[in-house]
Amino acid sequence: MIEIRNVTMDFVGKGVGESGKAVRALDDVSIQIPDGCIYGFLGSNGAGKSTLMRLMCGVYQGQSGQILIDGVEAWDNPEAKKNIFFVNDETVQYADFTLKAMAAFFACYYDTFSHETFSKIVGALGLPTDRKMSTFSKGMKRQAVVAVALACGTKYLVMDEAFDGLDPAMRKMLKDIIVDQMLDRNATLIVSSHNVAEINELCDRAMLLHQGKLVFDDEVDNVRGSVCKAQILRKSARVTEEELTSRGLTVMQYSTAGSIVSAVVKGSEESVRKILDGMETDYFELVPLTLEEVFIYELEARGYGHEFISEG
Amino acid sequence: MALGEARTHVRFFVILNIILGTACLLQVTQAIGNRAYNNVSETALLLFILGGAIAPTCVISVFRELHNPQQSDVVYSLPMSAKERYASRILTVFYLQLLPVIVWSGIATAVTVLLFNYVPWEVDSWWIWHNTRPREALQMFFLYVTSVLFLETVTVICAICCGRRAEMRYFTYIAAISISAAPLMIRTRLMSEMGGQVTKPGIIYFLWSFSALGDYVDTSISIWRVLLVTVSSTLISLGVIVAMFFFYRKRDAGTAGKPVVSRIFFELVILLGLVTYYTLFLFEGSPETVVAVALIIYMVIHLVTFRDILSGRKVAWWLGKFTATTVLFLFIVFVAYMTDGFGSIHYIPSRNLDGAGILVSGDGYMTGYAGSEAYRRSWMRDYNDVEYMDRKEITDAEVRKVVEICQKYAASGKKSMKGFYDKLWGTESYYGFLRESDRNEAFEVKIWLPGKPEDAEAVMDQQFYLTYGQALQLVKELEETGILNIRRFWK
Repeated sequence: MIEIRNVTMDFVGKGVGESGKAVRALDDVSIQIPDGCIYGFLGSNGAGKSTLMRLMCGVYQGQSGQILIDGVEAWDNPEAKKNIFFVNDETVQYADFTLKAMAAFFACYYDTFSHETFSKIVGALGLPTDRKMSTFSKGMKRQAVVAVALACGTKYLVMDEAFDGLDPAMRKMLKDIIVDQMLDRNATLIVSSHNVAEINELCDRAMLLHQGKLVFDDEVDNVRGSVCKAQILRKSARVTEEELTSRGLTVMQYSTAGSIVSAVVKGSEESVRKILDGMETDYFELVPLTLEEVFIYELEARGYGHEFISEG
Repeated sequence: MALGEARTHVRFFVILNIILGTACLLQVTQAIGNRAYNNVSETALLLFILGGAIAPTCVISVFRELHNPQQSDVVYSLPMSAKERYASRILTVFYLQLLPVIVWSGIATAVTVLLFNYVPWEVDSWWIWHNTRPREALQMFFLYVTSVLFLETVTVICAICCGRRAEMRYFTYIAAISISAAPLMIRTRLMSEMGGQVTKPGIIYFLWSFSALGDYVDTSISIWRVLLVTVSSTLISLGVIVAMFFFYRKRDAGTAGKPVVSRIFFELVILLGLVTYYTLFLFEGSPETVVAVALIIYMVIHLVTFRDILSGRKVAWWLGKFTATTVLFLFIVFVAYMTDGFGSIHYIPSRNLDGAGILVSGDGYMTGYAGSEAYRRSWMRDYNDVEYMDRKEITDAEVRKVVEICQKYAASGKKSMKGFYDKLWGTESYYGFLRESDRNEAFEVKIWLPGKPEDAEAVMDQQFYLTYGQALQLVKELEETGILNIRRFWK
């Protein structure tokens, strides 16, 4: 299990050239990633997803809090890091490697590296092993890095926006390969992406970060079930937001179209239905939301994007 | 792990070995040819220097996680502790850079030494520059390898304290040159020139710097001194490398790409560089030009380093720092002037000087000597002046008495702001300054160890200038002591 306990991370004047002003990237974040799951990191741009991933992999040292991988601190600890492989969103650092050289390089560091797995995946993907990666296409570079990552055979695989920029067919191919391999050895996959639909499809659990703070961390089904959209009709007098709030509902978004009110509210369908049943309405309907819609409404409720909407 | 790391730098390794291998081949063929008046290949020397000078490229490339954010993601996530990572980096640098340097220069040295068969009876400087005896060849080898190790160590310091390649590179050269030149130049300008002492600097100035390279052409130094410099420099380099680990392990990927990571490092290097520059050029005339150039370089370095965030306040702060540093430096030079080189004008070796040779000469005016057998012989040969050359053994107390009298007069000059300005910049040359002052009588005091010939290195060599009246009084006082055999050229 990976435990992240009360982690705070500031980027503050680490270089002499900085202004010295602190930028809080993560603010008291706590989550647990159980073994064997596929865990999704969601968040707005600059929310802190990549920072959190790097903290987990021992790339950054946080200011406070703890990050434990199977009970062992991650920072500067080879015992912890041998169980985790980090795939970041760039491939330029491997430009001078051939696949063969890259495999040899990582095999030096990971005792669990399997040349057999490597050869099997590379063969299945049809990647050349003697050509420099600088001559590969973007998709091929991603495939190459994924092949090496899987061949390292670590318990945890962390992928930061590793599929972004790939076409749908390539994404599906890579995901299938990864999931097959991870399931085979009951490993844990942690993946971040801006493609919420992809996270919805792939992941068992997900978390949402916004401006360094944790918004939710739960199973994907529970997340979807925790917010719903109510469409309410009352001909005599429109249902107001205050009325809904006074009934104990947390309204994330409220809009009207004639006599019909649309309100995105927190709560399960069952609990919201119970509340609306107790109100005087002509008709109401509860619409389940996709994970993407939950993502959008959660962030909008926190003011994300409002600065870009002109008034009037 | 180091070998795995080294495999990722094959290109550099091949290029370096080509350069050093070519240098070795050129030197070996020169030595085999053994052209009697030239058994050192100058092209080989240049290639060896080039091979050593690219050490920063190797170190910066190996420590890539410190300046490349993409690489730092990979490196810091690998299952290695900071200690293992650092040790792996250092070993990789030694394997890629230092080992080829040792091997190729070692082969060239060994062949040169073994094939050497021309031993002149007398050695002159022209011959030394074009030929090398086995001892000098070995000196050159030891000092070359330790200089390369020194440069690698300075680069490691700069790589750990900086987060960008450009800063790592140019701070390395600033730091290496400053560490090498600053102590010597401070001694020369502030002590020797102000106090008149021109004795060769002690070995401590060469223990960890490029300056020791100058020793290889010096035929008077012993091989033991070279070995001492080699061992000390190597130990200091290794010690510094070990100490830098404690700074390395505090770095993480967050600082990769930032220009400079340590403010203290930045300010120290800039200060050292400025002091070195001033000691090299400020005393040569045209102080306005020297300070203006220093200001431009100073500001350019700050602008380049802090190019991400500029403001009027920052620029004003840098100007203030520069001005304060320059004023402070000039104040220290002024103090050195007022105290005659921080009291170095009163320096006399502390060792026992019984039986030493001492010579006091008022240039073209008088000469007094005692105890120097070789000087007596040369004087006899040249002048056949038996009366003047009575042999006299001199005691430690007598030597100190003579020096004390001379230094009393040397330190008697009046000090003033005008005198300070004139001493440093008053005229185009120091002799021009002398023409403008009344202290025109040049004197020199030299002391040799017992038994050493006159042309051997003096343990004390002091020069000073007196007025005509002071010169007469000095000579009279020396004559009255009866310690020296004094010959006046003019009565």
